Amino acid sequence: VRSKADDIQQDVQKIHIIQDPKIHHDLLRFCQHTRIAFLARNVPPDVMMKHTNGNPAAPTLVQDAIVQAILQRGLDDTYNTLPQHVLEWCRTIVELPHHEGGVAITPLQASGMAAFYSATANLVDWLQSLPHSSEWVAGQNLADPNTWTSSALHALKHLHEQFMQHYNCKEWAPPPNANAPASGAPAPELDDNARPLSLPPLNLITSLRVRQDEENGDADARPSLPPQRRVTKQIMQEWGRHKIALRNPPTKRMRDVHKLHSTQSVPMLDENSALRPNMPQRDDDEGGKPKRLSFSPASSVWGQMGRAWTSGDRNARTTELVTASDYVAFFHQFLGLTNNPALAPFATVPCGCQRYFMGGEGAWDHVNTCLSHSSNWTRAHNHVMTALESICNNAGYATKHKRVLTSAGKQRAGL
Amino acid sequence: VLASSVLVFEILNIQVAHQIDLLVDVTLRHDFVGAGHNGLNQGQLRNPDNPDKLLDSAAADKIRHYRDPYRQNRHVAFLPACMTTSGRIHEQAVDYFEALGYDAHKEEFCHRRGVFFHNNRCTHGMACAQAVAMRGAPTAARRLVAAPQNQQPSRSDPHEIDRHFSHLSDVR
Repeated sequence: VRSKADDIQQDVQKIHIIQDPKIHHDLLRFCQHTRIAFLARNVPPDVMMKHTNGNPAAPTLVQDAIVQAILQRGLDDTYNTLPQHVLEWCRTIVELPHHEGGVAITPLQASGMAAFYSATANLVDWLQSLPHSSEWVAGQNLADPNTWTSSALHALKHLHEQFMQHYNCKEWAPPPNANAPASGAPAPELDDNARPLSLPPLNLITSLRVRQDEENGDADARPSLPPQRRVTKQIMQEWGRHKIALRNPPTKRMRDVHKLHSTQSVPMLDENSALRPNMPQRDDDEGGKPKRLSFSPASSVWGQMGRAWTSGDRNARTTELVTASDYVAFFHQFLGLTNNPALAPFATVPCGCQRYFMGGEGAWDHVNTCLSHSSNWTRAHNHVMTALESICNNAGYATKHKRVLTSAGKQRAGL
Repeated sequence: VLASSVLVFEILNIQVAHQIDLLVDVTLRHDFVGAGHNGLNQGQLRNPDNPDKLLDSAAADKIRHYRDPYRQNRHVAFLPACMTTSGRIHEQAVDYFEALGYDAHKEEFCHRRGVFFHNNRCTHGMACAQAVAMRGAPTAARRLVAAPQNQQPSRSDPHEIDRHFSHLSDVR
């Protein structure tokens, strides 16, 4: 484990030569962060998390190295100037999942526990299905956890208890008979995040039919192994470091920006939408909940592997030139940092409105709202419009640009 | 500095909302209050309790001002594609991206449709993120520094700034 962690740390350093910041992120996330997953599925968490010679555990080292590399690339020189509590906030944002407004570098310590639990529980289920299963486990009874003596099964038992105690999980129990009299007041309805995760009792794992693909449905009717991603989600909901950080945002701005990055959910067939006649109603939606669409701002930036940030071709006419320093500016804005490094050289330059200095306090909001900067807005607007046009073209539709005059009443957009 | 005309784009023969062509009007808004007259609200969220209200009002403005004139003159459908600098987008745009990849009757295409839809979202999200950076990018900022020089002398030497950004040789 230590050797693997050392290898990954060295490779994280080597990746610094990648110039495109998004490709750099992709290599860290998809090629380095996942390398320890195989070990995590097969080595008990206690062994994975063992400290040696005063060094942190291997998953902690790898996680720290990758998160630090992402933050250093995104924040550039600002990284070394941030106080510890702000860095802790930034680290939390990087580790949160996309739908919660993060960059989705899930802590390896958490995903490792879920990986080992899922892999070992599935192994127990599979072993029981083999002929002469007791021969494979040297006399242990897979249906009786009290007879488990092997290190892997012992670790599974320990992990199961840990989930019950610290991560809001409960053991599955048969639902009460529908004809039985209700005992007291009905249980309050809990949302999905607050509801404890139901795990099968260890003595029932051997009789499970694993339903990895059924996440919703009538999960309470019979015991089933939850998918690994569901276990990871449950652990992350109770992850103490994140809970503390999210309760104490360093600034109000950071809290607000984080709130804005949460997933949007909109009804697919809104009655006011001009597109309503063109959105077919599926049969399985009738009578059920109306279908909703979701959009995650963070996922749309970092969710797709291999999409570069920089435009590459400086002579391209279809897109604006986008540089690595633009990524740094965007990353600052994404984390809620109000200093825009792109404006630092202009700290003493007055804005055209003569009310602010370009690098002064609040400069980031000022350049986004002061009309003196509207040429920047036009440039950004045309960039987005070109991207939307490419979406239409990829869908098989022809498009054409139209330059329309400003309408009466000094309206500056549209017609 | 102000644009006297803007670019919109028209999708031909898409057949939506009982019209043949669809005209898409893009707008990008900032979530936070900028330079108010008193400066007290600068940096505050415009709609703390309902972050999407900004998008709704932007779309409503666009529709109120432009949809009917377009219909009268050109018989085109009108879609306001509104987004904010935090990356949020208006619900009609979400609908639209889904509609482009929608095929309700062939289950075997569901996976491919999902990939296609994800690709659309990422294309849009990346462009929006880049646009946010452009609104405060050095190239644009240098252009701004040059613009007010005719009105009032700058307090800094623009040639000094040019030296700092000499690698951006493509800037006009």
